[in-house]
Amino acid sequence: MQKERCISVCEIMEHIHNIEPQFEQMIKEINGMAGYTKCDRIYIGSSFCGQYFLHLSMKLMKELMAVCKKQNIKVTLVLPIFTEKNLQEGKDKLERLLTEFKTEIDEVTVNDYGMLLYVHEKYPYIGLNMGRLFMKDYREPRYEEYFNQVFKPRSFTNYLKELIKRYKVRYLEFDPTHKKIDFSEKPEEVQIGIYTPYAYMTVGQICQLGGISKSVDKKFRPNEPCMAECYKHRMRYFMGDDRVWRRIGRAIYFENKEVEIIGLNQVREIYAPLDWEV
Amino acid sequence: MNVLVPLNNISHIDDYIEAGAKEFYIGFYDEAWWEKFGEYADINRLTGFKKDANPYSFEEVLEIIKQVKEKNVYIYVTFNASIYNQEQLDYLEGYMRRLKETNLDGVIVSCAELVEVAHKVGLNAVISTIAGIYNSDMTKFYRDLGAKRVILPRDLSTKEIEEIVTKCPDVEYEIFMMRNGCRFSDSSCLGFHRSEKPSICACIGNAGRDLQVKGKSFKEKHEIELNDIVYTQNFHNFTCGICSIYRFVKLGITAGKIVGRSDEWQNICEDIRLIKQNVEIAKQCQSEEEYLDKMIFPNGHEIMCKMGLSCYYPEIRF
Repeated sequence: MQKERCISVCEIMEHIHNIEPQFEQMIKEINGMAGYTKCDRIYIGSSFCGQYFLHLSMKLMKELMAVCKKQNIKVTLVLPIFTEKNLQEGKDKLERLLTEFKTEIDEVTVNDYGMLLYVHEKYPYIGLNMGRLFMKDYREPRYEEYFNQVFKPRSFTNYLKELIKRYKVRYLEFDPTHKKIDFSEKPEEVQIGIYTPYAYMTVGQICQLGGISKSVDKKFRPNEPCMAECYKHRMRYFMGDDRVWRRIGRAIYFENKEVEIIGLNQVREIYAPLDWEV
Repeated sequence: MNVLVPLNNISHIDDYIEAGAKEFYIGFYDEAWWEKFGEYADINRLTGFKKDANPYSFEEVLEIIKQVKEKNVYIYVTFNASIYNQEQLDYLEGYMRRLKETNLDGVIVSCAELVEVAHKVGLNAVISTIAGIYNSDMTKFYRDLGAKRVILPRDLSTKEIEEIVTKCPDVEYEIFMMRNGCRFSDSSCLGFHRSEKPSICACIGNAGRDLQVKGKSFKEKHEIELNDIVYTQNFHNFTCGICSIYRFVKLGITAGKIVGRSDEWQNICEDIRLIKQNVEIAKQCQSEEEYLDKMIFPNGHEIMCKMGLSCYYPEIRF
């Protein structure tokens, strides 16, 4: 199976920048963790958090983009679901990023239908992917029988096939939800991307970490502006199994390094170094 | 604003209506579905709880719909699993065709695919919170597909709800009002809801944890640990939106929902009465301040109504 090698710094760019402030070195280290000699593409932005996306520092982005340009690494910008109060701000930030980095960002991954239509209409020249929040198969490593099956994703409906054609979607992005995933029923027109080595299991607009610096009566409000606590804080859970469970930003992830992908000639692997800690 | 309640105990339907319920939602189980699609395929988000959450078969639900419609109240049937494959969607169309033969008011669906199926069959589509409609662009997308009503997520603020309703006034809206909160999003929480193990949110609450506070100052450590205690022990143990009723009545929200399909009927009735009384109070009030002075609080408010931790919409008072 042919593999396109990508790395993702979505949700964690600032956190790992605190550990390794030189982007060139950062990319080298992530490549090493992923087992790549070189990556073809880097994912930036956020699948899960509008606040994280709005906080993205243009200064850091410029530094990262310069390295990407130098190393001939393509860039995918990932958009989260914006709740109503941030919808316009999110679109404005998208415009700024696509204008400033028009030669570097050649693809956008969206995570909701509203943004799918918006990006398709406003930026018809840009590659369009459907992100991990569209792919809603249950993932439950706590249920061995379910987790260990050869799983066929349920997303490939006739409706999705129509959307792929109508909006010229290039990639569908999945999480490593099971031990073995069979993508043989994927629509012909589209390619598959898969995150590794963690699958997200749950996420929401309420952020535990965002509550840290707030008084009790202001804690845990949905999608409230925050102090970007996720740049510094993260959590691990011990669920009585051998698996690593993490809270990074708003999402809970479980580790699934051993996922086996079948039914494809070609796959885009998106390695996210969620293990990289201070 | 109508009070919408889960109809899980048909023998108490008159109690619900007498308490003030104007709308019901109901799910069903079907052995044939499990036989065809296996143990882990859901018809609705609570299928995994088997008959505890969906006590009636499809055939029984067809009869229940007839009974409910004779009493001149609304009823909706839920098809809101997180995802279905094409074969399952085709199978669900069979249920919907039979539902169309009743006077059902609509089906609660979780995905765009099922809006199309509902339309094809001629049923009204209500968009479940599982679809995660967080903004006006998404609302317009579902409106243009043909949605009659949108259930807005419980993790949206009242201000955002107001903006969505104002920008997209041509659908009905339903909001969460009473009983269960959720620390994550209904739309993106992809763990099972089943009886064998607690849901992932509960599991995380009880799990061992490393807050990664090593090397941090006392103050920083204290803030992180206190935050975790409040989040896991005090936040959304029970959830209520009674203080927001004035705002929603003025906004013309069609229905306020009580969740808790497995809860005792007496408790549901108590909540129905509480919402109904407060809606009447809100209608008589000239301002939100007046409503907040006059409204009736839920039982247990001495503990519940503290620091906004049990509020769907804490911004009203805190």
